[in-house]
Amino acid sequence: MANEVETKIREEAKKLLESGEVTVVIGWGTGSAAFKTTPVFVEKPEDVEKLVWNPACTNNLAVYLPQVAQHAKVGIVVKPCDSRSIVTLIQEKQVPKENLKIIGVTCPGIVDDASLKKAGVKLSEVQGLDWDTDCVVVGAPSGKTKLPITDAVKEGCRTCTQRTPVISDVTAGSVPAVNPVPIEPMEGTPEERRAYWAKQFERCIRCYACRQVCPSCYCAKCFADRNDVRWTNKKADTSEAWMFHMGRAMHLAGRCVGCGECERACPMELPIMQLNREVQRRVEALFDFVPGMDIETAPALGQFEPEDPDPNEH
Amino acid sequence: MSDKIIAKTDLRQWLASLVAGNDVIAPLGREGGPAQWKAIDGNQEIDLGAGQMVMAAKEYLLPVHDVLWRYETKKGEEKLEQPELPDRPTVMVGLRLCDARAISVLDSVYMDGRFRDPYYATRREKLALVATVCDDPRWSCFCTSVGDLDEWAKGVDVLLTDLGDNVYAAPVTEKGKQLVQGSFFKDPTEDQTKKKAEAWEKLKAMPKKPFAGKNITENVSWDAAIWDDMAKRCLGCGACSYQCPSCSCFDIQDITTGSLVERYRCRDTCQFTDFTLMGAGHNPRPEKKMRTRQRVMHKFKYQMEQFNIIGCTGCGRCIESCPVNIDMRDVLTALVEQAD
Repeated sequence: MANEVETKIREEAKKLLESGEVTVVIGWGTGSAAFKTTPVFVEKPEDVEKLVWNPACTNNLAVYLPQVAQHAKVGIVVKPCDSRSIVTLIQEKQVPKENLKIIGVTCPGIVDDASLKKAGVKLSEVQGLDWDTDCVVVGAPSGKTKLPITDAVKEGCRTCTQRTPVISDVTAGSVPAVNPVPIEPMEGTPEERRAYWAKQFERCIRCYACRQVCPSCYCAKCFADRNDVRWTNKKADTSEAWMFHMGRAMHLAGRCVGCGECERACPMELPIMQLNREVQRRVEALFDFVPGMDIETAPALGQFEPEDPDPNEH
Repeated sequence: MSDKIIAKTDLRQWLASLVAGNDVIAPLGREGGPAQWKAIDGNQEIDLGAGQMVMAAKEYLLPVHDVLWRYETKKGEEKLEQPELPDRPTVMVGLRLCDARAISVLDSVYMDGRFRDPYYATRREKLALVATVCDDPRWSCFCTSVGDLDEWAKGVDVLLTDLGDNVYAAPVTEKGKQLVQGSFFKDPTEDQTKKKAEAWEKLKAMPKKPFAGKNITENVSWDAAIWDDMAKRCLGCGACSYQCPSCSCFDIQDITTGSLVERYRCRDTCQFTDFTLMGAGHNPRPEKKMRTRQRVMHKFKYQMEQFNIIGCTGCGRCIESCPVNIDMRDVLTALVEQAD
């Protein structure tokens, strides 16, 4: 199923590089295991064979744009969530739109190590991954196993409703029919939530993988790194990690596209998407705004109207 | 030394007997997240096997938040507190051989004879290592391609081998011999000794990578093309080195409130931009390429030149935790291929 899309990606990338419209195409390439891919930067038309498309194409490649596409013409392959990151980056003036050529792919959902393990897959035995209608197909020496998409995909994809890129110059793939899990408000009383999150943040080792994989976390100097004013200490303890993660969640209010890369990257398995989803759910309820859907709609927290709702009254 | 056999059903009894005379640190599973190294009381279910994801053993020797001292004034009274360091013998059980080897790497840095780090050394000198021979390597493992396991095995105090219903316990040091005591230990049969030897050979026969057996130290080139490739993909987080069992860098920070000063040590990594940032604003490693190169050069060249030990034990944690799938095995392969 993925093959036609892969061919289309390569064709488009080749055209862009041959015509000189871009100097590099950023996409996913073969990883060091069958359930992994790695970002690739293709600069020559003959290298487009390096580009792949399969259920392990997890990286939100928009994260590279503020560095790479400021002063260069760049082609980029994006899933629907990644395309929303591009919209956000254009709106926030981190990337000039005219520097981009966007190859979009429709997406049934992506898997990661954690989601595969949760679905009972032994990673060392995986030989290949593909989609089939509403399933992820895992190849192993013992044969192929079909896993229902909603059981197999990474946390960020479970609730995703966006199957087609919101911005692209070309789009590959047909629109898959996948029913997402509905987003529910965060459960529990404030006390219960406090106890729950204290238990989660206790694990944080402050490696900042969550922040570094996030296209919306592009600050040149993150508040967590500042030492002229120490907003949060470097030590890995619950209260300091709390400050960092809540700070990040608030900074992402109305800006998180829900790609789930932060949670996927976390080596300590913190359920970061629960926080981000709750913040986005509230932003949508208050301001009727979903981040990264189109360039024209001003971001919820990027504009001010005297009639704006007061969160304290809701 | 006098090798012994213990039935798996007696393992808990053995751990309880260890707990009576030692602080025992073991990998304790937890909800959400890798198992962590914790003191046990002898009643917990411990997985001595080697397949689960466990935090690096430096979690015990170099805690993520290691208080060096704390000074407090309360109602005019001054109080200076020193951290609590172990005063009882300590045993770590459930280590993999790569984890134990990583402790040898840390020893070279923190107790190299010229400099003795009192916090690390006090913990380490009281510590005995009980390691288990891996029978089910993870997808990311490559220990046999960066080291000589027979050599590594000399660095532990007891080496355990899973034989199904029984565990083969081979003391390596005098300290280890003292730990393998109790009526539940029997002498191994010839067959059991044979099976143990087979398990060891099976582990050593793990498929090797192209860089195995090559002198990586000589092949780690400052100008290799792989540094550019890594730097393009690397996102500059610290997951690789924070999870690495042998990455040893730390930062020292102070917390000050109105009445309290706490000086602590915490993790730091050469992958962060502010790692080498000077007070006046100069940064000798301003580019990502310099930082990604540094971690590999340190492990395979500088550590070898300084301490005659390779700073990587092939545990695979950096591979599993890298969000962009930069794989140390591919990096090393590229380095030796370029040199060939």
